Amino acid sequence: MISAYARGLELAGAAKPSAHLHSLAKLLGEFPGRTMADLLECDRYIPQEREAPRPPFIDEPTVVDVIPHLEALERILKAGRARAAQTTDLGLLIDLLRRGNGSEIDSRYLSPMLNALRQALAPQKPAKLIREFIDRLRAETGTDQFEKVLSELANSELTKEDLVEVASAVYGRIPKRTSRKAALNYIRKPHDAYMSAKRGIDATGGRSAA
Amino acid sequence: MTVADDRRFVQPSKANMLVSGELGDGLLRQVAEPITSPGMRVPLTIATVPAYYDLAQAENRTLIEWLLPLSDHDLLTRLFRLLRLLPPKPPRSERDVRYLLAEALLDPQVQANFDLVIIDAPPRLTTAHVQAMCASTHLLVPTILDSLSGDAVARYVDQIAIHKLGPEGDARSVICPQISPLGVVCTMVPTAPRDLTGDINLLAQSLAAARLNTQVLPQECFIRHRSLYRESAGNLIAYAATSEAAAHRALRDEVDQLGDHIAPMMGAPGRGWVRT
Repeated sequence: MISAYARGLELAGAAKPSAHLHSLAKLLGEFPGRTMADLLECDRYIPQEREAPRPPFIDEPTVVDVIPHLEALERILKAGRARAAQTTDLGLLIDLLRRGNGSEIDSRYLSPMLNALRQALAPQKPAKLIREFIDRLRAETGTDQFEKVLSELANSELTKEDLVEVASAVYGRIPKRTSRKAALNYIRKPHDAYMSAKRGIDATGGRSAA
Repeated sequence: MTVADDRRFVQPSKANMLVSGELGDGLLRQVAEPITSPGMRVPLTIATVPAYYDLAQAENRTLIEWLLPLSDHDLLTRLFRLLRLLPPKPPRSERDVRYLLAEALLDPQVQANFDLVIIDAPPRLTTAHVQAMCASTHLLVPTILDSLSGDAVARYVDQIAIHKLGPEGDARSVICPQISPLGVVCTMVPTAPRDLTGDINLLAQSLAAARLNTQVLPQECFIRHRSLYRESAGNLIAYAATSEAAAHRALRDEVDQLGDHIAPMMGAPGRGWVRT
């Protein structure tokens, strides 16, 4: 869809905007299995602080160069009664690009942002993903967010062996032959221990017996 | 030894008298019993104040005696106020039951004759336990390493926090600000080699829920389950046995490791009281 619009721009003689949109379309084309929801989830990987000013190159587009064209494409799709999902996804993409910029929209270049998204969308190496889950599980132990992280872990692409590695880090050494389900049980044990003790402590109401 | 010879059966027990505040003015120094038993090292510079079943009764009696005058005092105070008279002096101003043990231990004679006092108290806030909290500088919590004990230890440490730091939002209600946790030591740990990291981690997580920062001591300090403790119970102190058998040496080394770890935390000299 974006590629088609970029080709149209190219035919109309607008080479630069066409190239910018092609680079965006290329990024999206690299991850055919990913949905817009995945892309929005990647938002947290995009650095929110303003990037240091870079020397302006003639061909270095900023996000602001691209957004008007995407908005135009959105209007065309709406006028052409395109499927709601298409226009919604495009709207979300525009929002995502805007959000990454904040008020400093002019200062953000497109290519670093696309690179950040590409990095975030790319399948993560298990070691990095495992490390990330271990850190998150440890940080969220004893909080309401723990169950969410554990659910993410259970639904992740990590193998049984990876989960055993996570369990060994957050619980303690467990046999390598431990099943996926048992490994997940081990992972939640420290959280359960904290919550159980906390409930017991809360039951006394912090009152003094002396 | 017959029942008639066994000093534990003498009533009231010395612990009973201590909790009741009857061993002040240096009397504690005089009644503490030097431990001498066949098969134990001599000279053994340990003295005990033994407890018997009457301690439980003494705790209840002391608590009630402490509280009842308060009730009378409240009634009298209201009556005096009604009559626009000055209220009477509170009867417990000089003898607060919570500090009776501290008073006995702070006696100059006791201070001059003992280097270290170890108070063995149950993990319930009985009168004697509250007295122990108010008299102690350090707290070592022994526990079995299982999930049920983890919860209990966390609740207990939080109770200590309430009395050391005061209930949340009420820092004035502090009765033992001086007590400092040395840590939690796991006891009765199976002697067979086993990976304990998971269980220790769970215990540490349970402890993290308490308001008082308390760590699990390193595994080297753990006390293993040894039959010698059971066999020595009631006869001698297993640690002080003269036997040089391997089992006895292993037991002593284990206890020494715990002692070596906690002694610097207490500012104590470590070994030297019993063994050289």
